[in-house]
Amino acid sequence: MAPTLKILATGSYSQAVIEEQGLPELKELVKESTSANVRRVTRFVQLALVGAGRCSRNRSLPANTAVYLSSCRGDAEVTATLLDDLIRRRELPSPVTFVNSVSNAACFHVASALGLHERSNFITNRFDPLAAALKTAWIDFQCGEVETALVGSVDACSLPMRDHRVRVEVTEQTTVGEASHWLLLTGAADPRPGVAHVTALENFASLERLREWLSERNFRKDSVLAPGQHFTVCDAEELCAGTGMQTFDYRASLPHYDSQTGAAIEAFLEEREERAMLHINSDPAGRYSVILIERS
Amino acid sequence: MSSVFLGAGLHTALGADVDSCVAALRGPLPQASTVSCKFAGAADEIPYFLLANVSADDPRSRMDDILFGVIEQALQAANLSASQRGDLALFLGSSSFDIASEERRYRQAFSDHNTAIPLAQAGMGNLAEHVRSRLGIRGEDYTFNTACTSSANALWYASKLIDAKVIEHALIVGVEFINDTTTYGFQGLQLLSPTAMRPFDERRNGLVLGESCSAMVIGKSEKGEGFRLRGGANLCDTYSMSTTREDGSVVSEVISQAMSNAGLTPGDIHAIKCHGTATWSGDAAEAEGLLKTFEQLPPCTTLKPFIGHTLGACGLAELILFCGAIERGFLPGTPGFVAEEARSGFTLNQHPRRIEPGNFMLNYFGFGGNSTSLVVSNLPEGVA
Repeated sequence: MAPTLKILATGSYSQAVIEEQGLPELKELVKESTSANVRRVTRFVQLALVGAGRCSRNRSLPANTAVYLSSCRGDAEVTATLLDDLIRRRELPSPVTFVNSVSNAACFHVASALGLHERSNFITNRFDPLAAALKTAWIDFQCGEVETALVGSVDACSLPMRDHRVRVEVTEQTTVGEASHWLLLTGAADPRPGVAHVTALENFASLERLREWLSERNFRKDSVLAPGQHFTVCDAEELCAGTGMQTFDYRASLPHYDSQTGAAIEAFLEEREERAMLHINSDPAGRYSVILIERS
Repeated sequence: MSSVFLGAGLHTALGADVDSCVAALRGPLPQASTVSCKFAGAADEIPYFLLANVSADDPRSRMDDILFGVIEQALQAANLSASQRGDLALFLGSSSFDIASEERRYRQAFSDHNTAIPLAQAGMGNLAEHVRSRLGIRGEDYTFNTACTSSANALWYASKLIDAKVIEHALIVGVEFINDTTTYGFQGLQLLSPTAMRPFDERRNGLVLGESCSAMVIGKSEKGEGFRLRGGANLCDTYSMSTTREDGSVVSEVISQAMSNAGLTPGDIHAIKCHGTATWSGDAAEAEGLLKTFEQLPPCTTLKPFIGHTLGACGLAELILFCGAIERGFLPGTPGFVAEEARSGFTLNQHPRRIEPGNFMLNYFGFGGNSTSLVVSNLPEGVA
């Protein structure tokens, strides 16, 4: 079944974090992007608000816009704070900290700040969180249950950087960052102009099945293959061989954070001329997830 | 042809399999265990519905023993071939995942050295990956973390992907194991009852937490017999992070949408499993929402007095319990629970009562405003 979702807009925030400079201030960005005065929220929620707010571009979204949020590590900072309360400081967690530890707290704040009254969901997958959220959103469109959706991924940094590096499993040499990438989606029949369409969301249990699928589609030089975080450029080049497709290494300029699939979509739309981008990710078990973006 | 529930596994405070858990719903309300509170100034003992027939030692091995045991119950009941098992898609819903293991690791590391790192192994999808990897599942996997609606949402999306023929079979897993973060988080919120959980009762004074582990396999069935998910709805209630809008309007809206999604009207619903957290405002909002929607309220029941509030796992655990009871011909009761006078039209089923196949509603409301209503049916397909 070929999904078709129209991308009306994208919105992002990504920033490398240098420990000596501290974490970038987000409060003003939240205000700028959402026009909301949101208080007592975590950095993770602030990042969600900045990305979703930028995606909505200060326009009034329909109240029936659904929210789908994904993240590889979730709000690790708030959970670490709870553990420190209990184990290091030996005190009961504060109620605000505990309530904010639910992952869908960020969905609540996004919906609240943007005046939305529809469904919300926090969905993830260890190796491609945004792909899981997109598939979940797509099935809701497919079932006719949702007309407009904000789909995003958020990765927050926390200090000290030593702790954060352990959590995200990178060495001291790696530049670490944080990000919030969002798509504003609608159904293909929506008359509003879009920037692109999501025309495939596929999962494959093996490389063989992925190759079969690719061979049935005849991708050519009007398309690029963007390798996901767990799919090497080398593997991508091998898949491209003989097709005329180029690889699109959007990750080379990014700091490390866990959910970079949204960065690929935004970079493709802003930086490239080709008609289509095939984003392929994989996991250590040799499963593959594919997102196909075609320009409107 | 919609997807049907092919097999289930369950472990709660009532028992270590579906049969024993459902059988216990005919008996008297169980007494919760207690756990010692480690913080000065708080109650000494906290009531807690701990899993039956297991001792607490290493959280990881305890979790694995129970989790994979419950999953095996579901897989065996579903009678899948080895190839079908390998192709399963996995949908996991939980509030706390494996945080108990992380607490233990951090506690040990901190006692060894002051520079220990909290949450050194962070990863929302880690538990699903652990399950997928150990079972050799090669289908896609999804992790849902929407507080108390997590595993209900997991089931709903699994069912939709099967009905759309994207996947053939799905394994849905709901887990909630005892951990300090949750226990003391709720203690700090002052939402825990010091005695017992009495949803909707005028004497209610808070919830009792519980552990549960549940698993279900769903897929198409040639016979088309048994329970199936007929519809559902979800709404984000932006009234408050920690309680449902008090006038019941969002409850009414989400359950109305669920019935509409299932192609049903209020008169088609034969019984309702309420969320019933026994918090003052939560139950009031739920009762208000039900009364707004149903001119004549069908029999209502709650299951948390039997197993506690199992948070992210309650969606699937309560659904398995509820469907198990209906399949055995009875609707569970909660004797002695009396709704407050202001809700005079709202009463709970008092004793197990005989019930025929029909359409049934199951409601779930969570922190962050996540509100989910599911409609299940064991009527033949095509019958309202």
